[in-house]
Amino acid sequence: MTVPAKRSFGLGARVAVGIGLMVIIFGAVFASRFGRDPDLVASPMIGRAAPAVAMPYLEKAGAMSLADLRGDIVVVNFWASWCTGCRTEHDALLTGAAAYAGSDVTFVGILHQDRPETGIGFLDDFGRGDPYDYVVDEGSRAGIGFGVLGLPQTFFLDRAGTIVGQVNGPVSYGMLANTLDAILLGRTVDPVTETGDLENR
Amino acid sequence: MSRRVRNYLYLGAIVALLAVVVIGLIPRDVAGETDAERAHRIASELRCPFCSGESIAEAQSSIGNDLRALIDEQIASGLSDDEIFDYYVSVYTERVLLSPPLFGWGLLLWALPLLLLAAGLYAVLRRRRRADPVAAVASAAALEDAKRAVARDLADLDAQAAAGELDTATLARLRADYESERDALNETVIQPPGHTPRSRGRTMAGAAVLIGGALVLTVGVVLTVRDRTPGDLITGGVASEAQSLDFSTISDEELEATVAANPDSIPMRLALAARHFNAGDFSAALDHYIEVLNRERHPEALANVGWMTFQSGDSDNALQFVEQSLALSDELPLPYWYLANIRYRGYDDAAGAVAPLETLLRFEALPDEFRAIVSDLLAEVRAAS
Repeated sequence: MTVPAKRSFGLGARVAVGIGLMVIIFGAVFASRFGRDPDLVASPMIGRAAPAVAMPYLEKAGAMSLADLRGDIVVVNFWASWCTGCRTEHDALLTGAAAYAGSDVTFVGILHQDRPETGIGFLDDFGRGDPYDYVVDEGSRAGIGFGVLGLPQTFFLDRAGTIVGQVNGPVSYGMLANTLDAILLGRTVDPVTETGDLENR
Repeated sequence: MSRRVRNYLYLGAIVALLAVVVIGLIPRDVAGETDAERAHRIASELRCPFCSGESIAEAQSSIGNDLRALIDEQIASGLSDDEIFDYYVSVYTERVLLSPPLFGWGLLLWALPLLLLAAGLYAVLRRRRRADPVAAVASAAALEDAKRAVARDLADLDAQAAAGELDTATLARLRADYESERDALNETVIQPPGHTPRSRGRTMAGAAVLIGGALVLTVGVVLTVRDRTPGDLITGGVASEAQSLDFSTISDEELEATVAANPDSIPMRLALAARHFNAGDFSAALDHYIEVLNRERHPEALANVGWMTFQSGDSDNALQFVEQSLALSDELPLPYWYLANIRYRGYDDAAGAVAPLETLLRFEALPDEFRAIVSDLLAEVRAAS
């Protein structure tokens, strides 16, 4: 009886093992990155002074700067008529502006990457906040200064004009109220909240 | 061609190739640039933050125009290149740079080719120094070639020594090298072609590595594909209302102090009033609800004031408050409960209590216990009417 000779591993087997090892290494590298959403960047804006850019009012003469609002808590919302997330959050912003009107909270809506006419059309369709400052981001200077990466984006400023919170995507009234209450209470705020994709034109 | 000449040729080729790479990496001359050229160069090194994969120089969108205008302005105001780059990094993080930065992980990326080159050179040099022909020789024919080459090198060396081209030290070193190489080759025994059976342990280890890798991959893929929830290992893209401020973690005293400091904050005062109301401290709750109602006709405040009024025995006014609340909002469940109770118990109007209780049961978010109580009362008023 002949016993077949035990064969060593040939070239094919070695290549297969090599490819297998490569797959494992790449898989391990990718898997190690799964824990983080690549879209999610720690915001560099938290803890910084809000940029002081003069912005003309959307529907009246004159201009304002966020620096004029020191002493107030400020909600800065970047929006545009083409942004669907901005429609989603619009009611929440109007409700928030009315509910916190008496608490030294000022809402500023900055029309970003849009024409004033279409912005006014949006407000005609969906309503205006009262009280609420609507301004135009000329040359996108405010948006660039805030590092805006898409719309809608909302920033919370404390009474010193420091950016303490940020929401990427549509805000809800609950989120607004909780963040504002936390600032009023002098508590720390969740720095960055993600609620959805940021839209670009 | 002697071994030495061949080695110089190889070295020359390597140096030439490296020179090409190094020349390519040398920054262009930026001294004679116009402002427009400088702006374009800076813009082409920055990623357009709104666009996908385009530099600011290429971006056709309106934000691209705005960013280019800002760079022009920054150049005109006398900022240096570094100051301009620093500004965009400070606003958009390092992701805005199209070339990886020369620090942190970026430095590793830049250094990796050099590290690999150094490792390769080290490996080659080590191998040469060991003069380990045994490993290099794979077959009998190659062994014979190698033996002939060493013999030739030794003959060359003798000829050079005779011609007086080499000094004594070099001669001795080279001769020692070649002779040790020759001795090693002479001792080499070529294994007959065949097999070196692989050990069982190595096979098992290989299989274990493969299985482990497959497991890691599977877990990673499953974690990525499944739905995410707030507070998950994988974050982002999920609304995180769950992380929001919980009033229950705030003490009564703290809430009282905050409301006193911010008398016009309606949401917080409502939370405080509801806390007193739920604790049965109606007089404290009423004070805060009245403060709220002085500022805003809030449906929750109206309904709870109505209920407290009913508890005090004044059904007429209670009914008014609750009806006002329902006129303002039909989204709160409790006003329907109050309305049904006031009609049934305050006015003995069992038939009038049926409709609000039916409406109440249509709310989806009712706690089960409360739903059971409502159902019981509905059965009772239907029987009574």
